[in-house]
Amino acid sequence: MDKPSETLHPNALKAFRVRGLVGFSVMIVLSITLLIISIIESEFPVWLSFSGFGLSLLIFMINVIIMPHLKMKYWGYEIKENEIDIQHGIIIVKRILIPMNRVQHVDLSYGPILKKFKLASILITTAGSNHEIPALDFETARKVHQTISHLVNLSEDDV
Amino acid sequence: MKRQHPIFIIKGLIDEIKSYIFPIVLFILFSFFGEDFVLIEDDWFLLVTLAFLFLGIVYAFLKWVFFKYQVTHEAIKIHSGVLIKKQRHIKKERIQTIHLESGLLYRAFKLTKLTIETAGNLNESEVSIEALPLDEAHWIKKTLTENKKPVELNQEEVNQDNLKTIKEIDMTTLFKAGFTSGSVGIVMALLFALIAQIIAFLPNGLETFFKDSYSRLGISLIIILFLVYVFIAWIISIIRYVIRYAFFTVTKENDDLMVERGLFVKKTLTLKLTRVQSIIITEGLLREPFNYASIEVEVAGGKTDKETELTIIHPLIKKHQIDDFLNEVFSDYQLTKTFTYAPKRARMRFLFRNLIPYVLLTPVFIFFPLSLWVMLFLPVSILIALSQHKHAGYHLNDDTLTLSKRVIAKKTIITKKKHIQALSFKATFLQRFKSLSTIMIHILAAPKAKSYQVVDLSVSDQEMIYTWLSKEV
Repeated sequence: MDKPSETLHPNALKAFRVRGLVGFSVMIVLSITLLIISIIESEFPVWLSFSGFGLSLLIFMINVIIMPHLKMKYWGYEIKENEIDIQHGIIIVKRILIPMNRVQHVDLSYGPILKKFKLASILITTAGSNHEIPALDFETARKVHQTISHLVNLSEDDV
Repeated sequence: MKRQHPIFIIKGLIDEIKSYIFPIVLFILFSFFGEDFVLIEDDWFLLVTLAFLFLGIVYAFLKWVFFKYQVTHEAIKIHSGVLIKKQRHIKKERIQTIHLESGLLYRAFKLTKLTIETAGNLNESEVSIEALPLDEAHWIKKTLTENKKPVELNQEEVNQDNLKTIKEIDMTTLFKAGFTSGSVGIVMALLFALIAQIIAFLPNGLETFFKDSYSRLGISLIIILFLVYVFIAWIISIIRYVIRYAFFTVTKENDDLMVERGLFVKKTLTLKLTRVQSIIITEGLLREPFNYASIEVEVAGGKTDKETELTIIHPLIKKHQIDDFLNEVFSDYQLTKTFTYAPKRARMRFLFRNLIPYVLLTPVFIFFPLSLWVMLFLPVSILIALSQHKHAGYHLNDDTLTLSKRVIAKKTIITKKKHIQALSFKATFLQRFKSLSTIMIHILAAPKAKSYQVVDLSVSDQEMIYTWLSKEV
């Protein structure tokens, strides 16, 4: 079975990295706070802040360097006339097929980070499940959103 | 606009008293155990009780006065509320299911409670009319579920010829079904909790009770007692089943299926056949050796049967009769016998999955060697694992997907292509190593969406199912 043809927008890589960086900086700030506390209050254990720094480094490695890259590589989607095909996952690979006339509605959404990179994610809801395609560029997302809405309106199949 | 039968005032009063009974009993108990018997001996108690009773009657009466309903060809209107007025109009097309339920009081007066369910928010999705005369309830049901114009109240026999009773359960089958229902485990647990509660009241507590009886009676008597306990639990589970499923009747009327059941409280559930999303055939461990199974359906929208998540449409059926039964009820569902099963290379994975608990228990075995008796279950686990592997499979035909699987009980799930909301496959690193894949279908059900999965099918099967669904008409 071939992978779905479309991949996420290249900007998504940056968005994922920024998202990772946010988590990383939160950890760093926390660790620094702990360090300061342990300097002022001598009874407060120093190892807490050091393990905080260690954890931040780990987060940096995983969420900023490794994962965004792998995500880009392993996410795939394809929107055909009659169905939506999504594949994702690194250790557990998941493949999802949603017949178009089962789609109930489609949500387009973006937070501040995605907006900065002109990206948006799409949430597809059927009567029985939810599925997400993260980080498409604005134009594509809007087009996908419209295509799906249009196709959904065409089919009037009831449950 | 019409009102309910005045009996509702009594029913309403009983319901109110029921909801206050616990605090009242508590109140009386406390006043008994208290230092002085003030509340009981004083006339105050009587006075307060009478006042409450009076208020209850007034409230129940007002509820009856303000509850009005009207059924037309297109919709049902209900106005209700003593302080907060509520008006609700439900269009006929929005109605999902209608059930009738009559308790002992209602049955004495030939009345029933009619509940209408619509799709949508679960709490707000149902309305009920209490204390309806039975024939009027049937008329309302007919009017609201029918596509054509409604028949007049007095001509209710008109459509009788479309009524077809499909299954009426007889006593033998009922007891057989109760005997093999497998709910004995639940009853045993409940019974145990009850016994433990009673023993806790004994002066020396639970532990000493067991120690004493052990030293006094010896191991053989303990075993006999245990067997008696299992026996009693089994009897109770049968009685419980009989109470729930006595007079089980399935009737088909045009596109509606009516399921009636219950010994004391009679329940009638009407479901639209077109809203059935999947059929589940379950062969419980106790039923499988005798070639018996039960059939349930998953229906979209509304809360279906409240006691069970699925709606049982046949409590006990011989396996070779299933096809005929499905044909009679649905006409477009068949039970296939040819499945494509999980490949041989998947067998080890089934075995490993079932052996994991034993591996995890190793530290316990090391520190408490006595617990090694758990290992006695190992052969059972292996047998189950082999059977799980043997029965993991699927079958495709033009518009139907049939899944076969076993966790403990064997299940066969039949669903139409048009009812599959989404299809997903999952493969872990280890599964990919053996070219295996887990298939999962998402379907619509009440009260919430459901998914069924079959683990460790071949990747080539994954492709088959994928192309089958993607070839949309």
